[in-house]
Amino acid sequence: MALLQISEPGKSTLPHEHRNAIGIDLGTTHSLVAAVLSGEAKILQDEKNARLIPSIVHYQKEAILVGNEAAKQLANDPTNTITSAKRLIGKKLSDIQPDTTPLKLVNQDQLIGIKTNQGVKTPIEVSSEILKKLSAIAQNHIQDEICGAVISVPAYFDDAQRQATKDAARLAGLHVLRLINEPTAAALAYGLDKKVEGRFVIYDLGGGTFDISILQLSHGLFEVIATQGDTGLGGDDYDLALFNWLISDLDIKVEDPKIKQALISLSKKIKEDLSQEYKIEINERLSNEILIKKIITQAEFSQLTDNLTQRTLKAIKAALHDANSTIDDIDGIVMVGGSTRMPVIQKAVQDFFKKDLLNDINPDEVVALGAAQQANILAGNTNENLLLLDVTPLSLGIETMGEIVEKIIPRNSTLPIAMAQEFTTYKDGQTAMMIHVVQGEREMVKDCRSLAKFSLKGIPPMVAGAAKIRVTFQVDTDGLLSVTAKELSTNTQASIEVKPSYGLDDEQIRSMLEDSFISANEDLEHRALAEEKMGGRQLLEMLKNALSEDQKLIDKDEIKLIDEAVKGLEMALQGDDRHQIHEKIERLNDVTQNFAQARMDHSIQKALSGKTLKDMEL
Amino acid sequence: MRGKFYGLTQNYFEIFNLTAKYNLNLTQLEEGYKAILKSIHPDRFINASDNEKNLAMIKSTQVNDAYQTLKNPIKRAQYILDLNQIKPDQGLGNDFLMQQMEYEETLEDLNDKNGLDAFKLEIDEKLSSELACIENNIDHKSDLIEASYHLLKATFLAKLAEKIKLKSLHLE
Amino acid sequence: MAITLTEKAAHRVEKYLQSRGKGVGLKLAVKTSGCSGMAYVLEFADQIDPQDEVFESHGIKILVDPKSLIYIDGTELDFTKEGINEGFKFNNPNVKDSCGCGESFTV
Repeated sequence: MALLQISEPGKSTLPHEHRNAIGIDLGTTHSLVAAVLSGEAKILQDEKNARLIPSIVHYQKEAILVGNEAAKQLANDPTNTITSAKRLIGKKLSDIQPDTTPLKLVNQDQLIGIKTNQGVKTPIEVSSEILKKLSAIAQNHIQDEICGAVISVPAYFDDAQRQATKDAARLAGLHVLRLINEPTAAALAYGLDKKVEGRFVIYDLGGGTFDISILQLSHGLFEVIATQGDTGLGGDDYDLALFNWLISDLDIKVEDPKIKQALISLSKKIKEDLSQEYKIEINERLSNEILIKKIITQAEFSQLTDNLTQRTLKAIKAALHDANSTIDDIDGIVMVGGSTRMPVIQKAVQDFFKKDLLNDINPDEVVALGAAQQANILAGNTNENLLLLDVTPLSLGIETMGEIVEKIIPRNSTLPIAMAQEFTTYKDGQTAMMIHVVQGEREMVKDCRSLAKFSLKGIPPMVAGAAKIRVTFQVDTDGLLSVTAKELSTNTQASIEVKPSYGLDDEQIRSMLEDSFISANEDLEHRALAEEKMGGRQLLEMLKNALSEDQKLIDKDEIKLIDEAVKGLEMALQGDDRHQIHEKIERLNDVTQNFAQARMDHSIQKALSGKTLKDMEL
Repeated sequence: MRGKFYGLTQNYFEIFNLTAKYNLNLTQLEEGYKAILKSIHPDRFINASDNEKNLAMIKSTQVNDAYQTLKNPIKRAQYILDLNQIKPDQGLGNDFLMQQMEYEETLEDLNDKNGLDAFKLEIDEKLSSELACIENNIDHKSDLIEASYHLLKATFLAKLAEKIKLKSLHLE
Repeated sequence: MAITLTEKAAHRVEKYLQSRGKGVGLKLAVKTSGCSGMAYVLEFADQIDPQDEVFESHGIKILVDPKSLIYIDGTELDFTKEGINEGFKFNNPNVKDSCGCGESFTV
């Protein structure tokens, strides 16, 4: 029997219709899942009370192990044990230095494939295994349907990486309410949204990535105004600095992988110990020839890694510049990521801003907790009026003559955003053209990331230069791109054939889903029917509420049409014909289009009404 | 015109119930923007029908674009000229061209932070005086053609100021 | 009769109210519908409505509207752990039959 949680006033739901939403921090080294229960964000533990789940997947011939179980296989079967899939997700083989990993990487339709005991797996599939595990943990706690998840991604993730993360969630059967930038999630966890006004810096140093963001809060509106990052900088680099220091006066080369591993572990341990103590004495025998006897202090460690720390400070300066701010404008600094436990970092950041840091929430958990809070807000379980506004992490552009990038949507634009660009034909009778979309700040196409190639087809044949094709690039609230095109002089919709340079298309997802359902012995048709029915019931419920509030906005005839469509859907929902239900949902959507528009305009007017008087005084 | 999507029927000023002029009350613009977004942002429609989700996305996009345009003095001036279909019918002439080249050379030669800061101050002052001319011509004299020449200059100066700032940042 | 909290439940509610930062107590009610007729409502309360019956148990105020009280009078609200799952449970003497989900019942 399910146990009840306390809801916010007026936010109770009926049994089996709870809007349970979870927050997930899908990390490079470990992942966490959290949820708001009785008003409090909590990390959900697995059956062994673990909070941090290692982001590791091990493929055996017959089974897949995830988390700690998979980590145990790392030493004896490294090629089938996948770590740090987040570093590979949404990337191409050419983006990766293959000698840095024991995995067998192959090219798989523009994506990276990893050869395992179970055949070639993409990083998307690997991530989906981790998400499945997290979802199962959440299910154990919530014991009811989970309506959706907010998944955190680094602020610098490009469209490809965001899309791939969403694909992984779909494969894991999770409905993504929203991708949230990790720094934003951290700020939420610290309750910065409860403040009236302020500008905050989020300093996030993880194992392998560094991320700096500046957030502006004013009256319940949370805005990411600038992000900077360094995907190749993290706590691991501090380990590496210690590693190099350890071997610096050994006169033999370290080639044995076991000794190398031992040295890396030793470096990690020294780093962690230096967070507790000022001075560490090392006295370790690694083999017959190798004895390491050294002493290091925090000050020496700080000097040893100063170039790394300086790199993070440089990114802060750049972010401050983007945000048009100085350190005096900053009201708080939030520390995120396990590596910020290092006193070296704490001190450097504190000295830079000349302010105390916000660091009392566990820096490993803070992102998941914030994601859970955002999930709870989005699912409609609170009376909070908070709105998060995100910006585009990178500029979006198209390839022009000479492989030069023309920027269409600049970095740090508030989402959602759209920009239109007009193109013309250069040959008589030309009916198709190719558009190449790239993401990045550099001027040359080869230095940016290729996002997609679109071929525009169905342009009416005209003399060269006469066709006017307007292409609209839309980036949604998750930072994902979609494109539409229209020929203006004849008003024909040009069809677009998208060739994503990355990621999965719907067909691929469907076939992967089918595969996984067959292996999980689940009835696809049954699930589809259940989903369709759920969608239909939700639509009816929403419409009922909308009509009770705003019926006055439309006339009698329209209400009659809507009533008929409602009855049609209600009838269909009595039966089990999925296609009929779908058809009735579509019908109801059609006849309520005008009503939806009227409601939206009405709410804009309502929002502005407090301001109209002031305008007249101007 | 740039930024007109999905058959937007209102112009950017109308979205915020503002009179179309250069001198805007920016606080009021910002308040209006936030109030609107809070009611129509896609995040408010997670549990809504596809129709409403779609509309929320379209409207929010328009409002974002309108806000970004009106917030920025140069973009705002450009927008007012675009609304009135005004384009400068000739270039700025050789004098300003020479001046531009001089500025670019000065920037190239400057390699210390103090010098750059002083130069930036000078350009910022010139920029504000151009913007004042734009305001005067649009809001008071209704001479949009004249405003369009000042806008060309202001656009150049604004870009230059940004370049100086970047260079100074890299020096640090 | 009255509505009561077990000590454990009261302790939890107090903790939640504290971390929430506001609220005068707990609101208990029933709604119709659900899988076996009636469903429980368990919410934080930010104010006491004039018609609310107010009970106090282990220092926590429990607000119930008179219409709901008929169905839940005598209820003891408990906080329990089942496996890794934890939450509140209604021990309601009026219940004749309940749905497996534990959230709805008939009287």
